[in-house]
Amino acid sequence: MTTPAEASPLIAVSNLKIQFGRGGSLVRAVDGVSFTVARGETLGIVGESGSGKSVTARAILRLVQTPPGRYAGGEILFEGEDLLTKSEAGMRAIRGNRISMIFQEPMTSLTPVLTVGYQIAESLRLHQKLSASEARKTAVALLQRVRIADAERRVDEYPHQLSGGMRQRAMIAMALACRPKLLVADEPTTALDVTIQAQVLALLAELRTELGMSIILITHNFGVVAEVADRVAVMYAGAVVETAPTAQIFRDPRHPYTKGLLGCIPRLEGNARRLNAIKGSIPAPGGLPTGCRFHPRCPSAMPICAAQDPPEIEITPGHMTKCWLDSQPAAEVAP
Amino acid sequence: MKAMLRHLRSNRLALVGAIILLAVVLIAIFVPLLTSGDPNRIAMQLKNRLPSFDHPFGTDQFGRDLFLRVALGSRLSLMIALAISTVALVVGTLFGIVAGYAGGWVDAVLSRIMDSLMAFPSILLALGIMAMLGASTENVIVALSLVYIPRMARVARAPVLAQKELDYVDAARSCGASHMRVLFRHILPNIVSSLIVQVTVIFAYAMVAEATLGFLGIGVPPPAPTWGNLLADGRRTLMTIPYQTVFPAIALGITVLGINFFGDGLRDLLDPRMRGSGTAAVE
Repeated sequence: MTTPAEASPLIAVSNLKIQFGRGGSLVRAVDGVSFTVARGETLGIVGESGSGKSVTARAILRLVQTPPGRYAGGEILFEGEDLLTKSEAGMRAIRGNRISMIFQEPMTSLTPVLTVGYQIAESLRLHQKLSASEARKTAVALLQRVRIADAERRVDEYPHQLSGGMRQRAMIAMALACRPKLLVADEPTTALDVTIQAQVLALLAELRTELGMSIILITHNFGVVAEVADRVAVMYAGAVVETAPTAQIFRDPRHPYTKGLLGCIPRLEGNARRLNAIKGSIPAPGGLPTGCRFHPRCPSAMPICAAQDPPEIEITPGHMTKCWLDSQPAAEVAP
Repeated sequence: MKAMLRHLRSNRLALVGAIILLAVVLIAIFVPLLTSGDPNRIAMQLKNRLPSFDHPFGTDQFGRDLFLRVALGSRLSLMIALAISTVALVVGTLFGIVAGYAGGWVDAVLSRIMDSLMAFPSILLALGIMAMLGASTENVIVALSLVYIPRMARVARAPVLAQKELDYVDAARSCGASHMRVLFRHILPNIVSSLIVQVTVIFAYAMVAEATLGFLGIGVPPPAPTWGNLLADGRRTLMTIPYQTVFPAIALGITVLGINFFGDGLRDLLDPRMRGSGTAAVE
């Protein structure tokens, strides 16, 4: 399988570094993240809490607050422009217009005191200078598009009058109002019921095809990834450790961390077995271990792992991993 | 049930407060319009009269009708307090929300200015400013506004600190809204209930503070019949003809009480947890 991402990526993040604090309390939340997303592609970014995936998502829209945060290096090329060097006004013209974002918590991501319609119409009024009545009409159409029943009435309601699932749909309508090229979805279904999750994911997939946009889907849930992502990037402690097409990562996970994550998923078929939890917990970004950042928790750790960070190598086209197990064919795979 | 009773009671208090305020405002507007007498006309032959049909509150030591003076005083005192609380609301809110939202050195500078103003006891600060500027109605408004701006700013800043961490701020930013738009369109309406409650408190304080300045003789210059000036006039005869002090004091007390009742009820009413429930959505 080849990755269309190689051809002409819509967005290419390379060696992105975001830090908080300085001196002794320096926290490297994102430490050299690289990935690309092709036009029309869905990239799933998977990782535990604290792996830096949400900070990465916010960085794409340059929403990380500075201070306390700091963009310490790398670049984010979106349609050939580096977003990290753009002016604030330049970013405002992109946000909500060419890149949009939806958030995890539908309870708090809508302003409680403004109507749903106003909030959906806001980006249209900001970017396309629509009048209030035109914007309202478009908002109704968008609400219908995300299948909110009785959109004509809902458009004038406040967020607290909507259920969680409806709020998340309204968020999607808000994000897609200007037909963006790229949608960054930060855990869009985590706070929802399972049945609503499936509906929201299906809706996202459908809208992606219809609008021809790319999606970066941040999640900690491999099930969500399997459902909608074309490619997966696995993040651990501020860096991407493995990237592969979705089918490939389920068939042949290479990095011990990816294996560990997949081993944590209970299966219905086959014999019952103990779930393999990954021992230990993610290191505090302030105290990253030397060498491979996963080695203290890795079941296959070797002496070299503590000494040196492994290089990124390509297993098959489009399947990259950063692990000494694959970089040193001579090394025996420890049990 | 208990919550409901409390709600009812506080609402009843709010109602009482609103009625008192309305009555004071009506008196302030209409009594001076409907009566022909001049509240400042000195008539020594009528001095120190006891309350009667002609002079419901009696007359003062210069024979001026006390009822007229108290009624006109309500107009002056209300207008001065209104001006002070409006200035405090606008300027204090602006300083407070900008400090809270911007954070960093902007917050540090603005907050230290507010802190240093609040370091002085309010009356002492007002006295100092009045001593510098000289006694006049405008200067009373300036001095007391300076006293209450930081008290407003502090109340405006705190909820912004909490609100700006919520996802809706990032969501609005991710739609392309500027910081200004986020602060004034999205955050400000969310904190408006705390602001309204605080401004009613300031309104009540401002009335008392204005009376205090008048009583100390450095407020609105006499013979303007503000309640503070009436109290100051009455002080000289407090032991012999107490009603000259009692009537303006009662007027001031009742008005401040009404404002406080109203403010309390308003706080409960504006508390989102107390707000009427919308139709629950079913998906």
